[in-house]
Amino acid sequence: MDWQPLVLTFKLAVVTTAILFVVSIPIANWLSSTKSKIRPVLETLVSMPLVLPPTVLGFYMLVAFSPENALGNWLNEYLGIKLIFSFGGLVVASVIYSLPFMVQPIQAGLSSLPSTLKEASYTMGKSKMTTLLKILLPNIKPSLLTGIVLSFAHTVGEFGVVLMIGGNMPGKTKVASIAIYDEVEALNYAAANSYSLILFSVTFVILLLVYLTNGGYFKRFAQ
Amino acid sequence: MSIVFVTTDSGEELMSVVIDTPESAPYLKSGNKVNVLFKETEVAVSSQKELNISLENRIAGIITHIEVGVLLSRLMLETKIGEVIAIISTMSVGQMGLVEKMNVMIMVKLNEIILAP
Amino acid sequence: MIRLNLKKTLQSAGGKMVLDLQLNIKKGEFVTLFGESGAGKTSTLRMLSGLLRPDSGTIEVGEATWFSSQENIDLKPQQRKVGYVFQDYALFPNMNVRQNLEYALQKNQDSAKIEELLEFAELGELQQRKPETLSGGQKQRVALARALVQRPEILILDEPLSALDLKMRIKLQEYLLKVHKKYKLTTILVSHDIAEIVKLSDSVFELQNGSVIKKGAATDFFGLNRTSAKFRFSGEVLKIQREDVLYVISVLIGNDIIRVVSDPKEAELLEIGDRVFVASKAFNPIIQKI
Repeated sequence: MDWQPLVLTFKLAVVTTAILFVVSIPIANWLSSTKSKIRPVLETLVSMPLVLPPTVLGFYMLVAFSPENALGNWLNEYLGIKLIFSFGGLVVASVIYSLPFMVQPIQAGLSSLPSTLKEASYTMGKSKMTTLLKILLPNIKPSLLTGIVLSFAHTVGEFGVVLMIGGNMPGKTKVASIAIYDEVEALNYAAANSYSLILFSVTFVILLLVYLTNGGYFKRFAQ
Repeated sequence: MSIVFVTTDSGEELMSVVIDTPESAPYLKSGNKVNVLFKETEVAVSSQKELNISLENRIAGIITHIEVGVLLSRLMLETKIGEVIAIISTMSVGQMGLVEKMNVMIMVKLNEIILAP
Repeated sequence: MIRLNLKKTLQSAGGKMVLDLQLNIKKGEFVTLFGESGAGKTSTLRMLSGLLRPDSGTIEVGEATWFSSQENIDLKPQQRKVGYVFQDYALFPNMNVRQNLEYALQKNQDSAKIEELLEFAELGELQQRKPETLSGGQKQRVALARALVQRPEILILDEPLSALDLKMRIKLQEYLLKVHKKYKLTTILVSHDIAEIVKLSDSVFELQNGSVIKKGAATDFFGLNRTSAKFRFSGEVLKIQREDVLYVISVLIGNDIIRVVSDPKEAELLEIGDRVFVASKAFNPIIQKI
């Protein structure tokens, strides 16, 4: 069996989750505390990947990042970044695609904290950053764990977006879910089964972990 | 310190000594309305009308009801200033032969009268 | 002197309310804001501490301007450094008692302050405990000690004792008074408890619908000063007992239980737990050197 797609899948999941963690905390923090009128708009945008067919997302990203378009052209010309059919492109697409799975648990966690915790910290002369790092985040560890695990598992399982933007290039963009599709197309059911079984087991264990540690948090979040 | 003379609505005159002076308590002014309070246990009862005794406030009354306890008794009296209750010893009730419908004088020492504006 | 001149439209449960008030508080005073819920007491405290922005007006503390809509001054809560004790205590669940206090230390501040406050609040034995394992009274003491770490000049207490039982409340009232005097604070309390207010505060402001409708010295405020009786205390009825033709009422005043004889007519009106006012003339009590 070729291990490369599996390695690539988990590499993508780790990188995506790490980026999402850093990106989502400020977004979730802003969403949980703002009274701004554009909040519902941003919340909707963040949640779109939950309901949108992955192919739609993948299609628009493919168009946007294509060197024939302004954004893709600019990225290519000035930064030398080519996002289409590359691992970098996969990461960007995955980050956007899994964004709600990281932002929503963290936002829910932050909203559940009494606002007096934050205010008490401010009246003690502590900055917003200090308050976030020392008071808010340490008190929503279960939400952080949920976000990390869900994003990881969701990235492992993605297919449509990856196929649209990454194509099917062995060692570069051919992740496990695409490999399964390939093997089935080639009527190579044994190999497809190996990949599937591994993905199935890993995802099962990860989600089980969330349920065990958070006592049904996921259920509340995914309602 | 001041000694305050109070005329009740029924025309009885009462005396009270207070620590306040008209300067420290603006309510101490001729013509001002005040409420007069005193504790039931501070009311003395006499069966004689004229007594040479330093109890400045004296009001005539009729005993309407006596509740006799082991040590103390509770007398309800009807007076011109309204119903007054006096708590005195059961021993005194016996010695003085106090009974219902009897005419008595009730007396209160001037330092026991509290004024409330 | 703290001078507040605030205007703010608030959204409350009963619809819109316009808060419009002027308050002057002398330095070193213990002041109570009194009034129905929704009258704007907590909003006033939040505006003073910078947690809520007034629509317009000024906040001056001593010589400094903390807020002025005209001059475009609005100090952040971090810059105002007001000691704020929240109704829900707002203890940080991820930190133990000592860490809660240490978090409040300012840059370069000597940590000896922590030891002093732990000792003063009798928290030494609890210092390694997490907030969730503490009783209401203990949490309250931690919240108060924590608010004092940064040596504030103004201490804000938003209904700090309302969730506690009577015994604990009375103990903590003594403690609040000690704190107020020891650290020479200007203390602003929100409370509904008249006995508590009279016991603790120098003056009272009554708020209604966002405005001050009455102010005065605490003892005058509730009419307690309105008899010539000079020997007077307020307390709580603990026991009502018939004795012969009378009743003996036990009243808790401060930490002492005193007993007062009462005629059945008055005793009938009393219930255990009632707030009462016990008075006698200054002529009656005897006084002896201990």
